Amino acid sequence: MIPTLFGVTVVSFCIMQLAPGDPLRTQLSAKGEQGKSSGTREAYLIQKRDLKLDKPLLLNFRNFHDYRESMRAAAFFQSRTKNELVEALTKLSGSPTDAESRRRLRFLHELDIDDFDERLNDPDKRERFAVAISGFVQIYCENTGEYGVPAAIELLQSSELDRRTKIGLIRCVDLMVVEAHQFVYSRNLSDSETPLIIRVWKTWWDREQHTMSPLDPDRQAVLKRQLATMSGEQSRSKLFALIEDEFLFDLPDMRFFAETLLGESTLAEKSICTIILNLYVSRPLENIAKPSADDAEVQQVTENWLAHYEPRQSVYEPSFVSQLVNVVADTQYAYMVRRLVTFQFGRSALKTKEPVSEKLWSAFIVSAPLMLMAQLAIYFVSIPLGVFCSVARGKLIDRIVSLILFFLYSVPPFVAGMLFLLFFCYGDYVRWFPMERLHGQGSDEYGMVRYGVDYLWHSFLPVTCLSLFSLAALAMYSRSSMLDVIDQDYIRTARAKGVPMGRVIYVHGLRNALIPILTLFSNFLPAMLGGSVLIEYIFNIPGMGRLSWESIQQKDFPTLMALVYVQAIVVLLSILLTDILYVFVDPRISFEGQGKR
Amino acid sequence: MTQRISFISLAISVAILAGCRQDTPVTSNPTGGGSSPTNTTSAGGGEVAAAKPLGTTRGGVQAAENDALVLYYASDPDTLNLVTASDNVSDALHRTVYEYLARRTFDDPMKWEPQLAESWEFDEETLEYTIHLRKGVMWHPMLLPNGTEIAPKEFTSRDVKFTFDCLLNEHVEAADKRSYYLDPDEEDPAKQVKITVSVVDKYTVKVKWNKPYFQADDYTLMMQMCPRHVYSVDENGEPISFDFSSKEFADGFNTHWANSKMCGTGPMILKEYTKSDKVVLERNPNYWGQPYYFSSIRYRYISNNNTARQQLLTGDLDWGGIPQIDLYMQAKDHESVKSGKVELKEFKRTAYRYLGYNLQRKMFQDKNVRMALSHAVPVDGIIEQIYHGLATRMTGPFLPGGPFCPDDVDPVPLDLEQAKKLLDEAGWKDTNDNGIRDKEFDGEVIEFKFDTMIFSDSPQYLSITELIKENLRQIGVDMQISQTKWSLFLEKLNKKEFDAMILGWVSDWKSDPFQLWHSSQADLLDSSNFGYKNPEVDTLIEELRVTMDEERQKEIYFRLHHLIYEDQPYTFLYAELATGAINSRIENVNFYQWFRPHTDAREWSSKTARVLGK
Repeated sequence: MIPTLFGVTVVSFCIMQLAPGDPLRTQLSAKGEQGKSSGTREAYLIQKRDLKLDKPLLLNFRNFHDYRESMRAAAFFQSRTKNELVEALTKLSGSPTDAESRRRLRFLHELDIDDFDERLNDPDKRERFAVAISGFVQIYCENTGEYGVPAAIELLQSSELDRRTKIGLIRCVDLMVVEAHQFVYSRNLSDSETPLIIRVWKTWWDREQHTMSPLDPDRQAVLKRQLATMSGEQSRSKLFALIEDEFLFDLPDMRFFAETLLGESTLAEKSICTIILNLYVSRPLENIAKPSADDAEVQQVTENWLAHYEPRQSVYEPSFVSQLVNVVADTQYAYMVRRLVTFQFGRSALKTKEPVSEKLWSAFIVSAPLMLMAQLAIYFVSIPLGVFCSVARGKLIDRIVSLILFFLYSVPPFVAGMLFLLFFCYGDYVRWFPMERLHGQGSDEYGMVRYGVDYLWHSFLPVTCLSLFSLAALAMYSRSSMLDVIDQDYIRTARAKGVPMGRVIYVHGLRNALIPILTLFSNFLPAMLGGSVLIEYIFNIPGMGRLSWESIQQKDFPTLMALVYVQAIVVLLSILLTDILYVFVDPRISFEGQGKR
Repeated sequence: MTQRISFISLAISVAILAGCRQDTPVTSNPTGGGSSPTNTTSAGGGEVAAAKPLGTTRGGVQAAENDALVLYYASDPDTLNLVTASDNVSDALHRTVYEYLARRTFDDPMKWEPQLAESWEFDEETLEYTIHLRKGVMWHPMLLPNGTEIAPKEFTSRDVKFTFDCLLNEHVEAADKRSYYLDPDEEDPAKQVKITVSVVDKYTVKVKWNKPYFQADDYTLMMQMCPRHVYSVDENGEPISFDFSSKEFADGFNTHWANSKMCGTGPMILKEYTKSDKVVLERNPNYWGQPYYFSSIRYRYISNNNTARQQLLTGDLDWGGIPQIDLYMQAKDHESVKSGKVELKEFKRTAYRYLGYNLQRKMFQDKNVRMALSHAVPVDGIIEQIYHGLATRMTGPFLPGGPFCPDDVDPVPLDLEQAKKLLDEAGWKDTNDNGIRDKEFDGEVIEFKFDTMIFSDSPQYLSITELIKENLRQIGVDMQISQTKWSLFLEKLNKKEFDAMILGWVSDWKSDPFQLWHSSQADLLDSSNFGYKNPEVDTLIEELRVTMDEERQKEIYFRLHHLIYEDQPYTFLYAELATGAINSRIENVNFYQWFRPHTDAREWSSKTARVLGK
């Protein structure tokens, strides 16, 4: 069972990968947000990072990759104007031999651009290609993520690059890093964040210190008192109110808070200082340099990035062991398996961000009773019907019933659903049944009995549709299976020794005839879980089938993966269950090592 | 079986319109709650509660004690979070619960109706809006997930600041809305955000724009306000983060516990939302303005379009669209329609369809050739035969009858002789006598053959294209029809791998022509400009985007319309009417073209009450 499950994960993962187009990109364009707006990209990126689609598929060797060369080329492409890019591309198309050009060409190949050679070599297409290139580089940087940062920081600090390329490199770094600076403490105060935050504010303070006049001692005392009040406050909401409404600060007061933060103080005080500083200081550290920036500005932004990088150095440059672990652990597949194994299906990719497990559960409790009814109807009607037909073999009644069964068998359930709606619900003919969902309006206020009746009335047509097709099939199966048994010697023997007809059929015959039918029983649970896409859609029932359908339509991949996975598990379980049931039906099969064949 | 086919195509024709939405800003949508500016004074918050009289509606009728308006929705909204939601259903729900600072009036988009803002001034020198907020407006009551009530709060300037803070936080999933406030030309991130919002005092806010922007009014004032005291706290009522621009806050906001709830200031309060089942809204007893006539609005979830149509026609639903024209015509024979129990309605909206050419193809680069093709397209015939007359002809990119469409442009007439003449002049002649014109380009002879890509699941598109094909054949042009699935359609569109195609745009009353017509968009991957370049149009668009004066804007729009008409980058087809059915108990129903949902439910009243319950 475990290998099978593993297989299931691999197969569904492959299918997702093989699907044409990037799923998120398709989602964006399906919603019609066409046009190259920066907004579209952003949303795409947020989701991509959330679902870890920026990681490699199966094996991650990014820790062992040297990104310096690529970063240098990426920085070049990010920093040049369109015309300069066209020029550079023209040069590249002439298969140049100098090291710099070869490096750039190699980098472009790495980007995996469709029709690369054609677009590079055709002068007509080159201009459009130049426009597109910065987009490709952007995607490259975003996918590379933190792995490229150490190389980029190293290059930034070196004197190898000219100013413009450095500005391009800074843009690349900004694309690779999700959040550059943490200005305030997270909700759960933790000392582990102190180095990050202190470093940020220290960088700012070193730069701004001289612009601020010293505070007079009275004001300092007032601030000290206020800080004590605030750090004594336990409730975050009250603290918020204090900072925003009670106490008013001026820009010069920031000297006090900066000094307190950087000096000796408790964690709570530090946290409050950062909150106030962040409220009053706008944009303490820039993380992008303008194209027109001069050397000093570039230097400043570089320092800002060092303030990001240095406190996080241990994360960016992991030990050899964790580098090895990352080879398999930091991949799309590993993240998927982790979610599945822990049953942490995560949150839906839709904007509701509902936990997937809740979604599954709420759909399951709708379709499970419905499918249970349908399955019960199928078994309780079809088996006796099959037996009846086999006993009456060749008679007129058998032929009529078989004809009807064939007819039912050839009507797909959704067609039956549409016809039922047309004839029984819309009122064009009669209006006997409600046309949608499982409860009437205001059913919440009904008593138990009335609620139950209402439920049965609403579920009658869906259940009928769900059962007709399988019912016909199963009845035919049981008829032929019974026919096989009826001709056996032991049946004749039983009848010859005077066992009553009913007993012969239902005890001697049926139990043996059930074995092939039982194999079909393994469909029982999966069907209950799977619901029915079309019937639920037609009758407007929020069950599992419709959930699958909607998840496909809305490209809600986490939900879809969970659905596939849970269904796979249930199929396996029900096959196991069927095997166990054989033992009870057929005495020849047993749990003992060797069956008594 | 016809039933089934039609419903599939119906489902998809809705999708395609959604699929073609271009500029859909955060606030373009109407039917907020509201009152006329005359009735603005006071209206206390919590102090006057149960004893308060029901008041009169905008329609001038006494509001009903107990009368439910029953509508439907076809798919669950992604989220009800005001800032991150982007679908039509949540839009519709937000309109009843949330309010704008001010909104353009339904009947005349040039006029404004103040809502949460009492008044505002705009300083043209500094590009700064000073907005004076209405006092004493209370937020709807709200419970935390653990059952404790959040203390009642008044709407203040902090909420305005908070709304913009959320929108501008780059980690919040509202990128499509945020893009209107970002300046793509500016590399410096500090300056990239075009607005600065600052709180002056409890009831005054200033919104300053860095650069003039022609839609600044809309994006400053037609904003629905998000309650800070709800969306800034977690499920225990504690602040998510002290920094609204941080990733920590954004993560908490994107997955907020109130994403399936609403807490606004408007005339309706969200009472219950059960996913895939129903949405119940009830009248806000403490509303500051004129109430809805109805004491509650109930949205039922109906995903099967056939079922929804049936319920509309039997009067179980009060109002809804019947978008498919054939089914709409069929509905005219329904007994409730004949007996007057249900009325069918046709109304204008802001969408049009066109036959677009890929201007990167050599054969379409001459504007006379495109004009010739337009002369051969029987638009009037299409409107008569396929739309039963329920469509108006388009002349250019801006909707006829609107403030931005000049009256002096006549649609290109159907004139095959003229079309042939134009093609002859352009050098397209049938030199090899195969019935198809050809022309030599750089030594290579090209036959005038092209593929028109249409959306495969719409029988309407197919019949339209066949009509066109027949006419083009007569002028010696061979058009093939390729029916394409929607996802492939979009992909080909984005890569510009098509010759021609038929599609529709849905726009706002005022659309930004930049995406579609500016040459900078022509060569981009994923852009909606199919290769159109005209320097004069470029200059005008650039001027338009920094023009705040509405009269000057009009002039520019008129000129653009003329220029684009002359270039015929599309053959502009028609703007079809929207169609729907309304229960005839509903009275005072007016239709307005310029804002969705094209009718203002605040004006409605009813002859006979619908009392829900047993």
